Amino acid sequence: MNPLLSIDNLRVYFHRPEGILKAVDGISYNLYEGEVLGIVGESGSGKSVSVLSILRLLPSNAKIANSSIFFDGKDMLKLSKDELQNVRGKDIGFVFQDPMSSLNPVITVGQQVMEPLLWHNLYGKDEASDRAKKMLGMVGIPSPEERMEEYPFQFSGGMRQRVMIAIALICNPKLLIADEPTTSLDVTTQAQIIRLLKNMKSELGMSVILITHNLALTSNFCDRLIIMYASNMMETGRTKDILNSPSHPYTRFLLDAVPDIEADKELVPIPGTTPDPINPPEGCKFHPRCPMSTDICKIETPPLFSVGDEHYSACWLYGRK
Amino acid sequence: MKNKNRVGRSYWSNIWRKFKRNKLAILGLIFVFVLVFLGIFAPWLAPYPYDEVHYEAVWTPPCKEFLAGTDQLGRAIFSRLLYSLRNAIIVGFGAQAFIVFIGLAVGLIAGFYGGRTDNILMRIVDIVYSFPSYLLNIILVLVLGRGYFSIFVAIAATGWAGMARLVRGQTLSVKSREFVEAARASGASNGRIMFRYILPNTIGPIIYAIFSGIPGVMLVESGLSLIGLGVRPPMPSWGLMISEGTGQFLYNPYMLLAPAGMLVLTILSFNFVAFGLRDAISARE
Repeated sequence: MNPLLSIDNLRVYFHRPEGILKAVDGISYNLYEGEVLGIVGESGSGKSVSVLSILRLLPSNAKIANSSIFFDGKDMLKLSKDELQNVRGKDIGFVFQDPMSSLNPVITVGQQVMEPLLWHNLYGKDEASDRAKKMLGMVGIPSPEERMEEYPFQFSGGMRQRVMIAIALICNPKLLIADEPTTSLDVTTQAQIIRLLKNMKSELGMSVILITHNLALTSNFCDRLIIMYASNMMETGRTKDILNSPSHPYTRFLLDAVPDIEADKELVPIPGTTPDPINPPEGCKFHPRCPMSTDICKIETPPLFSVGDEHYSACWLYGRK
Repeated sequence: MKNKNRVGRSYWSNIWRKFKRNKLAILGLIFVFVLVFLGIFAPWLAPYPYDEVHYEAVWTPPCKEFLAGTDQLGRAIFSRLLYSLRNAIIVGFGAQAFIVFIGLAVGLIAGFYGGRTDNILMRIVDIVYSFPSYLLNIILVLVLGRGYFSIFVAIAATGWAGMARLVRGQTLSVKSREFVEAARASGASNGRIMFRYILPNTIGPIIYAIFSGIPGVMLVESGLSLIGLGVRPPMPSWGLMISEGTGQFLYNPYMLLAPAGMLVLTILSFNFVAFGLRDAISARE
């Protein structure tokens, strides 16, 4: 089966006055139809940039170098502006991090939900409005008919994120990208939003990329995970494999940093700080903070070594030069 | 609908609620309506034609027959005031429309596209801004000939730069807000982003600028007609009437006081509306 999304050696460089910032430095993955992929990493690890570049939504000082991104048979890096506009919102839906500022404050919510349908010429005005109403009901907005006439400021944060999800899914996209959809919400709402994403996934069957820095959110939603650190991929594999037997020292640290009420364990912070993105360390980016680092880690970047079935880890522990 | 009190509390109704609390602004708004009404219906409301001479009644002080007296040719000043108001309103709104059109186009394009486009357009704005505008107005009217259109063009040619700067600044600040990126991610074209997402969110300060600009434009027109470059006589204009009245101030003070009073009244009422709008818009959040 051909993958829906195939990213090969993605490199995104920001040209800054103080130097070149490598926001994403060579990550590759495939996403198949109906699959849910979680990308986990700290702030600044390049996870958002890596998905924004799929739709080429990057600022103008960002350059995508020597990479290939194929989505649904289309070379995304070669699409014209119009073709790109056709994919955005129609084949790929995007949910942003902050629902408080992602909605246009002067247009009613109903209009904003139905507009992508009109932009992509999928429906006429009346049908679009009907579909928007249905979609708002599906994402759990009570009495959607009335709330469609309201403005974003009349919605709470969680409700706005539901609206954002409705906008992203209104055109029935093949892929939904959710870029930290729960980060700016409170904890109870976070769980609701993830449950909603899960329900929508089983109802509409699209593929999902979920970006988060919260490993706990991925466990019962994502099929596969990618762990990112300092613009690089550290580990990738099935969610249960990674959570049950993490192979990369960074992943182990991340899991130790997840609080667990039942287990009586101590939360261990990862020693040190994230590296300067403009002058990252040589070799493995994690070696200055890694207790297992050896000489080779300081010189050469490790490739992905196979550590199990479809489970790879970028650590010299699992291979030798 | 069940939630009627919640529905419709849009951007504009919020501004209107705050605006209503400002007594002076409401007073100004009523005056603006009255003035615009008087201006539009001047030909029907004026008791005499503005150019009808009454040689038997030269320099009559205000009386029952001539509400604001007559001038050196026996023309009814009240009628002339109404026509001046009409001219001021035509010039005020007309020239302001030109200014808004050019300013919006330049500011929106410069702010939205940024980069070199922005640089070039803003340097042009700087040049226009630094020009002595009254001088340029005079030159343009002289070159284009007198008439409404040339006055519009002359005033707009110097007045659009400030509007362009304002719109550009607003565009820049709205452009970086997240909902613009979200719209782009759902496949909105540049045009839709500009006109549906950026423009409506910048419109508050722009409306204020439009209102506060109208009296300025009226003053420029008065200034032009003061030196004989405004609307073509015998069509009256406040500037012209004031200049005629100045010479008569000691003998027939009403000839100066009537047009000057009307000018002040008009400008003040527009300004009060503008201030009320500014306060209502900035107090929004």
